[in-house]
Amino acid sequence: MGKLIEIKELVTNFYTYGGVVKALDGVSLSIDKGQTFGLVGESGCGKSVTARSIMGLIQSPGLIESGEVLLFDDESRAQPSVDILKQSEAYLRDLRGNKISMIFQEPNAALNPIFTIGEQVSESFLFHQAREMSLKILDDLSSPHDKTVSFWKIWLRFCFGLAARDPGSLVLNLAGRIPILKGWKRRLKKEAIQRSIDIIGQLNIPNPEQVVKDYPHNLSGGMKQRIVIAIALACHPLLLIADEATSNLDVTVQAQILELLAELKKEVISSILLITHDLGVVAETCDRVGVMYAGSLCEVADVGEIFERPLHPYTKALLKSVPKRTQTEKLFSIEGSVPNLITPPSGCRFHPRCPLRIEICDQQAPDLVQLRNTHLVACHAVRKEV
Amino acid sequence: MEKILELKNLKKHYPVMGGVLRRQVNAVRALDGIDLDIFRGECLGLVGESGCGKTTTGKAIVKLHNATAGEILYYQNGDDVVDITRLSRSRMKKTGLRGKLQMVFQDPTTSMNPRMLVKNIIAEPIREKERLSSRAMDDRVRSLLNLVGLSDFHLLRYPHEFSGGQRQRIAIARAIATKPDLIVLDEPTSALDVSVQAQILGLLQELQEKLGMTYLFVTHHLLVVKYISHRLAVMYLGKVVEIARTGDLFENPVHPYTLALLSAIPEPNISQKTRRIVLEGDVPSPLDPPAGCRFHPRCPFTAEQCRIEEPVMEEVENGHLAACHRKHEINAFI
Repeated sequence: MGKLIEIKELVTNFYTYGGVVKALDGVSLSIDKGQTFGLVGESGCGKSVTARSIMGLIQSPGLIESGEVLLFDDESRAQPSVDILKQSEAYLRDLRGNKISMIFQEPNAALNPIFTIGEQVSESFLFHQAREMSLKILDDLSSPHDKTVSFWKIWLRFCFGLAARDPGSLVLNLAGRIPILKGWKRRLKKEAIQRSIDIIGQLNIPNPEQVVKDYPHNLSGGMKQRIVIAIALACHPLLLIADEATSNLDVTVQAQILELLAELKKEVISSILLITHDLGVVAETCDRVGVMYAGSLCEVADVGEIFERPLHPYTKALLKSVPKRTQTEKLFSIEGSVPNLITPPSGCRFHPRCPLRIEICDQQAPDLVQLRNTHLVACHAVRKEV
Repeated sequence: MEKILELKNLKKHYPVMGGVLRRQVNAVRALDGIDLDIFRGECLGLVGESGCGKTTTGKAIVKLHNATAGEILYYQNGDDVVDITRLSRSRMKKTGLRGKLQMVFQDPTTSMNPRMLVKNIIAEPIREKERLSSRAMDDRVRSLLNLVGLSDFHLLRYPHEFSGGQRQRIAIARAIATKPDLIVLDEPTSALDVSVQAQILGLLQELQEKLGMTYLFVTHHLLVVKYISHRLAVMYLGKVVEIARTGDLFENPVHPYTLALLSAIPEPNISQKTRRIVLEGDVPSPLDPPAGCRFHPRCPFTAEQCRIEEPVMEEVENGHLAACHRKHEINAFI
């Protein structure tokens, strides 16, 4: 499988009044096509900042200092990859929700309470698929069964003819503002709502025709999260970023959502970047896992390797501190707490809490190196042993 | 074993007002008849999904709100029994019951006054109970801080200067300040990271051994509660559906809801994957709970009887209670 996205040495800082928060300190990872990549770590370790950097969503006071995010979306071109960080805002707008889309943690905050579900889901279609929809409507309009001719039909045909060529053209913009003539937009919206009903129906939501007329407060938490997923999947993205998508849900609803994602991955989406702090979710859904600590990746490996033969001391400690079904002995807890990222520890950021600490650890940050065939670790002590 | 608390047919209904005269038209049945015994020195885990009434139970016990009906019997030192639901708030304070029943809340950030020093936060409940000289008070607070793993120099700080885990330690110190019999722990670790969660769970266990307290551990996280509690009660839509010793409940659950709940836990382990029962639909509204067994619309093993008759809690085997019509047949289905 080829690569879909590759992040190289990403450094992101936040300039706050308290000082510069070094949120990401040289993060490198790559996600293959068709892969589910899990990013785990404790809160404040930079998981979400990584995801937002991919989408170009870092806002002031945050700043991406250096690094590259390469998207391999079209292999037929001479230059197969594009660096997302160097692109214009217009390109990013086209990218977000279309090629890469994101599911946020809190479905209540992600949905607008004053618009119906249908309006919110169809926004994605109106923005990214106006051209395709116009073509389809043109097709419907010129169906041979309907032979009546009216001024309205001619006007519609004219509008969608223009929209099929360039949805943002000046004439359409003006036509959209003149009261009698702007009715053509209704037709477009109707088509978008129809597509919304289709995609909501695909997500095992009962009675989608009713749901598109509902407001977010009419739905339960699990349903709302499904709607958020529907919005994210509307344009069949290459990469779906799920940022703690199931953390606020109950276990039985979480099970429903995870099953849904697994099913959808087979049919619709090509890759998923799953951000979570729950190691159980990772074990169940991911192919490859990256463990983050205080702004850097400390271990990347296939899911089996991480859980059966972890190498980095932080990964080991993290796995031991999660209660398991078969837990009988006392839970292990890591001494101390996560460092403040305004003044991170020198060298390896885990060294003040690390049991394997050696001299070099507080002087030099370890690089992520390949130790077993696909197992990458950033640790001086482990590297010395192997 | 000696009982410390007994809940008898406890109900809490929140009225829904409506109509021109603002009369009560309906009620949210948050708790709809709960029977539960808590024994001295144990940790009882109360699990269930959000909205099932776990927290309401906890709050009713410490009388943060008044129950609509039912009894909460508190056995003080064996034979002295009080019904908490009948006591007035001032009576509760006068008899020192507030100090005996304490609570730790989910979010340590919002459960402490940001304008009070840690010293005063912990001293406040002690001041309610007894008068101490300022030096004696300082010593008491200092020893409490040391007990929860914080140092003396933390005394003169404000809550915002601490991390989430440390704040939860302060909240625990405040709860144990009055030497309580029973602490209601309302999701004490769900706002914390896993590594900190392990620290807090360790601390709670250690304190229980040292001080001989009883815990009611309210949570939605089954693996956490399995680790810390001796017995478990599973709730669904305002009712307790199954009570058993923790080991029994995990090994042979009887109620189909428990079964689904257990199979839904994502396990941080890739070698043993359990077969998963994914429930259809959502938890029904407590405004209008289904007739018969409340779980029947989502239950994979529904029978005719389940739609009509509400099951009662009955003993399956020694100390293992479940409310299900088909509790003896369940094993055949799995």
